[in-house]
Order: sequence, then structure tokens, then C-alpha cells
Amino acid sequence: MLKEAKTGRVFYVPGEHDVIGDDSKAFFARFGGGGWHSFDHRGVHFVALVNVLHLQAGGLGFLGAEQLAWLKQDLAGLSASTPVVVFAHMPMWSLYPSWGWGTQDSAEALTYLARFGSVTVLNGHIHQIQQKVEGTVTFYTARSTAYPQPAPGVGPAPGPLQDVPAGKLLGYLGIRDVRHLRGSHAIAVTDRALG
Amino acid sequence: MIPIGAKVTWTNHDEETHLVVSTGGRFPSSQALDTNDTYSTVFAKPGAYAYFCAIHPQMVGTIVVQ
Repeated sequence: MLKEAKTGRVFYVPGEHDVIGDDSKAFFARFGGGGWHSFDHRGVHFVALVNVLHLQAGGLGFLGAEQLAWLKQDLAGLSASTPVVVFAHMPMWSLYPSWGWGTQDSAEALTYLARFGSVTVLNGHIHQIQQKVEGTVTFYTARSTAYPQPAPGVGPAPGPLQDVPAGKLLGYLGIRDVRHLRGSHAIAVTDRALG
Repeated sequence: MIPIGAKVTWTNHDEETHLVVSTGGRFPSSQALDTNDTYSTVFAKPGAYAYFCAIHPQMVGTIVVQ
């Protein structure tokens, strides 16, 4: 599926299964990069975060002090009107903490993003679509190409849904496209000098 | 709760991969356990040993040795 993508560059962030046993060394050796990073494309600032390393007992996803310091510095020079897109594997809001669906220090990261007029946060991990708007920050989780998971709190625990009929499975799986559509209308309020 | 010197074996009966990791590194961690994989370790000293899954840190437990 990735090979069919019509794009010159692919940017990866690891999920928790990508870093088992070696703290992500094999993942980054294969897919490049050394962890969290950012880049600019057509005026949009993209930030890739890693929130699946050094998870603590009883905790959620985790960014850590070093990554938070980098993020603060990375955003510091940007105008508040710069659109920002953040992507990370685990949800960056407390979606369902008792199933581990959240990031324990994401609130700190969001304080750095609060001054921007448009922030889009893209996450995976829970294999289903959930979304939430908080001020100028919009959070989205996407479907998976692997297996479906239960809705938050439905059933005893997260994990693969095993009672999906084979013929219905593809209805639970999916990919996401994000398109940038520039508005075609002038804004409603315009001012003109008389001479 | 187990006696001193007992061996504990974990078996992963889930579809997902799990690990057994000691909170605070007080006993050796397992490798990643696929479905039906097992991991065993011996507890030689008394105490309460908390552990969790490094992939699913909301999954926690405690072995009490006395």
C-alpha cells in the first residue's frame, strides 16, 4: 500500500509494536530518521512525535522531557498564523486512559501549541475513527490496515475484535487521505477607501 | 502470593504480543511474548514485585514473595 502512494517522500512515526525489544533501533535503521522531527511544506509546519518509548507502569503514551524541550524550541520561532500538523502514534488526548489510550504528558505539549490558529493532530493506535475539537486544536484518530479494535470501554479490554464476520472486515479497516483545499471565496467583510 | 524460591511462569493467552517488565528493574524482563509463548523466573528473595507490560503499560500486576 505504501509502495502505491504517489509521493516523493514518506515520513514515519513508530507505533508501540515497532519498538519492542530494541527501543526502536531496528525501526529507525529501516525507515530512516532518528526519532521525532519536523519539516515545512507549503507554509505548513509538520511535527512528528514519538510517544511509544519508555512507557511507565500504569501509564499511557509518553513523550518525555527531552522531546518536550525539543518541541518547545521547534515551535518557538513560528508565527501563530502558521498551520501546524502534528502526528504521533498514540492519541494525544485522554481518549480512554484506563485502556492506555492517551499520552500522559501530552497536556504539556499542547500548551506549546495553544497559541497557533490552526493545529491538526493525527493519531493511530486505536484502529478506529474518533475525533475531538478543543479550541483551535482538532484531534483525529484513523482506522488501521490490520485489525479492528472495540469502541472505547465496550468490552473488558482493548485488543483485536474477534467476532467480526469475514465479509464485513474490510468495512472496519481503512486508510486516510488528507487534502488541503484552499477556499475560493473572498472573505465576507471588505474595506475600501473612498479615494 | 508465592513462597521464597518459587518459579513463576507467565503464558500469553492473548492475540496480542505482551511483555513482562519489572517496575524498577528488580527481576529480569521477558522478551516479547507472542500468543502461547511463556516466560519464567525464580523469586529468591521475599518482597512485593510489581510488573507491567511495556507495550500496554496499563496492564500491571504484583508478585508477593514470602
